[in-house]
Amino acid sequence: MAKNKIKQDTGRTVIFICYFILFIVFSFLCLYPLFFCFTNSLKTVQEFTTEGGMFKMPESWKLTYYGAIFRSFKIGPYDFWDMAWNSFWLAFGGQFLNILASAMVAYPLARYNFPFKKFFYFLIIFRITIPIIGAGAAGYKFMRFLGFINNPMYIITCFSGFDMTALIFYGYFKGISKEYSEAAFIDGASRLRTLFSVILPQALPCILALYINNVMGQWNNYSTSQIYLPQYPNLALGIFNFDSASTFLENSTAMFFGAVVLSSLVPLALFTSGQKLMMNNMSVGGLKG
Amino acid sequence: MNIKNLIDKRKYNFEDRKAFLFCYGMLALPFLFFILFWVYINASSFVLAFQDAQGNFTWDNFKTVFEGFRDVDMYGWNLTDMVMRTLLLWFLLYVACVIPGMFSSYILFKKIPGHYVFRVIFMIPTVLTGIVWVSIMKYLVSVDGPILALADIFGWETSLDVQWNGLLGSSETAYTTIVLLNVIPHLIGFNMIITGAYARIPDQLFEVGKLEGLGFFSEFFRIAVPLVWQTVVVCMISNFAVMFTVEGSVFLYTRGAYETGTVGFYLYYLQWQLAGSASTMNAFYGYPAAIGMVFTVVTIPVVLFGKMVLEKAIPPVEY
Repeated sequence: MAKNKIKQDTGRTVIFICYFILFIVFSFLCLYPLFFCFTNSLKTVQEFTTEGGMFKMPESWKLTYYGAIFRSFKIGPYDFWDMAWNSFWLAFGGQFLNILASAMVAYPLARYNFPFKKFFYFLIIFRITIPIIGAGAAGYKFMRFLGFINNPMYIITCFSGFDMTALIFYGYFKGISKEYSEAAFIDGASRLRTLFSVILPQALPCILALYINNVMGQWNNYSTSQIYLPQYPNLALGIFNFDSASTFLENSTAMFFGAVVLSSLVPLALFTSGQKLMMNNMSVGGLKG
Repeated sequence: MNIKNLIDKRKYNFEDRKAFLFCYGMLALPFLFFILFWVYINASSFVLAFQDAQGNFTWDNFKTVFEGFRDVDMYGWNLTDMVMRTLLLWFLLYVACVIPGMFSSYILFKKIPGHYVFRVIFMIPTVLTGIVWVSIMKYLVSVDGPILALADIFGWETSLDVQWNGLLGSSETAYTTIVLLNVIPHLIGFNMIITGAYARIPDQLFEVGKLEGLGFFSEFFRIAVPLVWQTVVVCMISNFAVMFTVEGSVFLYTRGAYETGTVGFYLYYLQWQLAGSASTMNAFYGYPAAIGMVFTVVTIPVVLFGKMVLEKAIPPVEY
């Protein structure tokens, strides 16, 4: 028995040591790009032109070019602040609508029995599992028809409830004990009151976790702005365009990396503040049917 | 069973019907949006695939697609090559990396020293925008980048093409480089959803496993994997669904040049071209819709078969 225990512990230790080394190497690979961006945002044109200049340390650690980013980091008439604002409303506003719609779908499915309940649940599963490929062109045509191209109204398309977010909510809502809502009903609370006063406060960690996760995804999404809202470029699209359009700008490389650092601050801040919530509240169950 | 029977008044009292009203009220608006922005768009895509520039019925879009498989399509791309590249990338990312990715998540779940810091660091690539990540990686594999410098130090031979244009600027290495840049973060990493599923496994089961003399690998394969399998199946099925649409950031890395184009890239590329043109002619919409339809028809049975196999591989465990 003791021999077996020693064998078990040794095996575990060996695996942990191997993986610890792997994780250190991988951590370096994850962190180096951030460091690379930051150091390059501090360099002068001369430093970039020397051999291997991009991978050397900056001569002085001054944030000189960060001021220039706010003035000169432009795509057409749109400056850094315009793009930051577009990123903000697209990510925070759009994902608020998405979370709202998903919660509206998941809550009745998880907590009530009603005719056609299985049909609505099936729609979620169908949408997740059955891939419909190449509808982008038709989607673009429809958005054009609705006048949503270059129109902030496009954001309402985020109100899409039959998706993976709804499935995660479904699992979470189902896990909340029914005794709480039954007690609320006995006390005379309406269904809406029960939802807002009893269920939502309990589901808040899951809601926040999904919201943060989705906002980070949307903040980083350049394609929506590129295809549907080119006159409302977000920071991701700004960086994409600036990368190829800024060759003739003075200190454009430093400015580019500075903009990368600045645009990464919001998702990094969101992730740092919400990672515990996300790690504890993101799970999905099985797909039946 | 007809609708009348389903909502037979005799079966439900007033309170029940009020509850139904509440449920349908909650579902109504999302359902309307679903019909508009998913059902209608997909149905419209189906119709467009069979329409010519004037909106008349035609098979021409499909003829162009099959021409693209045989040779090149009207834009000069070969679809067969793109499919092969897409499938290889998909297989490496979403099949080959599943168990290693699950295992590294398991090690983090088992609280390796520094596990908390590692978890946070490993999420950085997903937190940063793809454009940022790609921009940095492009520099790293460029002519002046450290990867080629390392290759030089270790004496790895590179062709003149690579030496002049970097790893992403040569047909010899561009696709492999993109594959590696995509695969590495999947191989070792941290999967939040799987870790959430591990966390729900009762500790007593691991204790029993230990008492039974299970080693670390046995504990992983005989306790952890079967108990999180349902979650894995959900993730795998959604992975099957992206079989032909996995893009691998090709648009950002090379825009399909140097033999790197994938199907997902191409569909996005066509949509991007479409958005850049002022035309509203059906001809521009029909071809991508036809490509999509061909791949949808192939993918649906694969997804259903994959779901069946995965669910039978390890029966669901209740705990």
